[in-house]
Amino acid sequence: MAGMASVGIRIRERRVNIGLKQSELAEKVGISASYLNLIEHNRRRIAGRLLLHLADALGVDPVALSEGAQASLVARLQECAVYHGVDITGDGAAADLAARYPQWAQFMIELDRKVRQLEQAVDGLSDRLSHDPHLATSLHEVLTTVTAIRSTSSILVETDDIEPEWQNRFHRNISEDSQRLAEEAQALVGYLDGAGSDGGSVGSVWDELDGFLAHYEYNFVGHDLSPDGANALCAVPELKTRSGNVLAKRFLSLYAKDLADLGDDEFRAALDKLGQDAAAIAAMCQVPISTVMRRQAFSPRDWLERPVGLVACDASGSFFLRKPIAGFHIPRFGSACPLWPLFGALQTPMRLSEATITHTGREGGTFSVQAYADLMPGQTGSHLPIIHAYMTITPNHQDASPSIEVGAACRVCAISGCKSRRELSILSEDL
Amino acid sequence: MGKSVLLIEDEPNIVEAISFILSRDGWSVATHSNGHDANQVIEDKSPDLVILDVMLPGKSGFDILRDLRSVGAKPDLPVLVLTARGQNKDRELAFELGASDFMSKPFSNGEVLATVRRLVAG
Repeated sequence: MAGMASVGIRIRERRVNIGLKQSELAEKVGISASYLNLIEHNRRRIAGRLLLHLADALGVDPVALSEGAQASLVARLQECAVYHGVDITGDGAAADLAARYPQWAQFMIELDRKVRQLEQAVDGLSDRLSHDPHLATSLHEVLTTVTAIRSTSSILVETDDIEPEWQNRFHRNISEDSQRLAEEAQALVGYLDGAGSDGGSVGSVWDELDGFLAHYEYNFVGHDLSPDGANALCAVPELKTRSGNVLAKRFLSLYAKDLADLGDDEFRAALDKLGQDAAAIAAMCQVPISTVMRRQAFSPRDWLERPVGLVACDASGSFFLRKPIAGFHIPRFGSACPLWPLFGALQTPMRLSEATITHTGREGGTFSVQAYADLMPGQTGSHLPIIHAYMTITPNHQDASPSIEVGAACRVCAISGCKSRRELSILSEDL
Repeated sequence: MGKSVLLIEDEPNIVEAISFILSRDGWSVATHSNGHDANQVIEDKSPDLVILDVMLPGKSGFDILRDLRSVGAKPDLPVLVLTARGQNKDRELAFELGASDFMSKPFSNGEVLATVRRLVAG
């Protein structure tokens, strides 16, 4: 009971440290200030969802609240060991280390965090090398020009009785090709350095859109969305090209429409009443489910009980909108895991599907996802409907129901025996 | 006149170099530089062998090969696929679609010549 008694004290200490009033914290987690007061004075027991909400609102690990900082350190050390496949969790070594050398323990945790960041960067680069269309085209051009030079120069070296006319022509070809190769190589280096001739960065226009959304922390509440306001919003360094600017404006226009259909006050009232239940909010407010999904993803974090990530694709499976969430890696250039409910939604438009999924990536976690595909106005050239699918992704710490294992993309996925695998993984030889 | 080769490739200097070495070896060489009417050109010229690039304007070499083997009545025509896309999956796809051989760029003239001779000799 001594540990339980100090939970309230830890909550109070943390709240005071980050400068939150009792009433503000209470509102964030959806309880009254007087009830929080009882908790902080250890006159109410606390566990389960409320403890998780409080930890989330206070920005700390739930274990740090329930068992104290040292227990949290031990848990994180053990998690590091498991992650790196080292079986040292059972003999109390982590507890000893945390108790005797807390700074070394913290240092190891920090190193682990950096390793994971680097692994994520490697995933991203691997994704880029496999799927970046600009890079693929550039390398193709370089190889083609090298082939022409190699072939032509071999002729000049290996053919003794070559006619002067052909000799001149081949010399000219080599000169032209070497000039072209120099330009292609220069452009490629510029592209990789983020200083391409079009002013673009190493990434695509979709990177620019991602950068634009991240610049505003995926929150556009309170901004002026008129044409002038949109111009001002788009004046950020992340938007480098005209194409990137167009994508950002298209997003703002969609956001403005969502806002007109489901205003801030109505949306917040619905959240208070129904929680993050997209289907229920859509029914109550009489708006499409996809509108609610986008509003959830692009709202202030403190409006929501749990954070929300989002990914949207068209009928080709290409992503056109992404809001990342920790533990769920979304590949940059599409070619994602076909097991994602997002792609299932393309086959069953206008029907919300819900699932619990476990992302098997290195940072992966368990998530509740909702997927829904909208039929857009108009038709394709072959008279098929135009479909946009959305999937919201929310951390799921509580639900113990069976979850579906998914990956990020086949190339960086280690799921064994997957019948949907398209290509070999760099992590497994299994196809 | 020797046996005929149709070279379908859109890079003019590669076309010139390959045409030169094959002509010197006694082959009659015709060339074509786009994908969209390539199957018709194969039909019209009826060569003894086709050298086919993959990344062509209008229609990819893989699609040309697929149509050649399925729609066109050319099941036995030797086709040497040339591409800068030298990944295993491209090689596998080429053979799956009916390529007689596959060569990644950059290749050597000697390799091309030896392969053409082997494929036509059969």
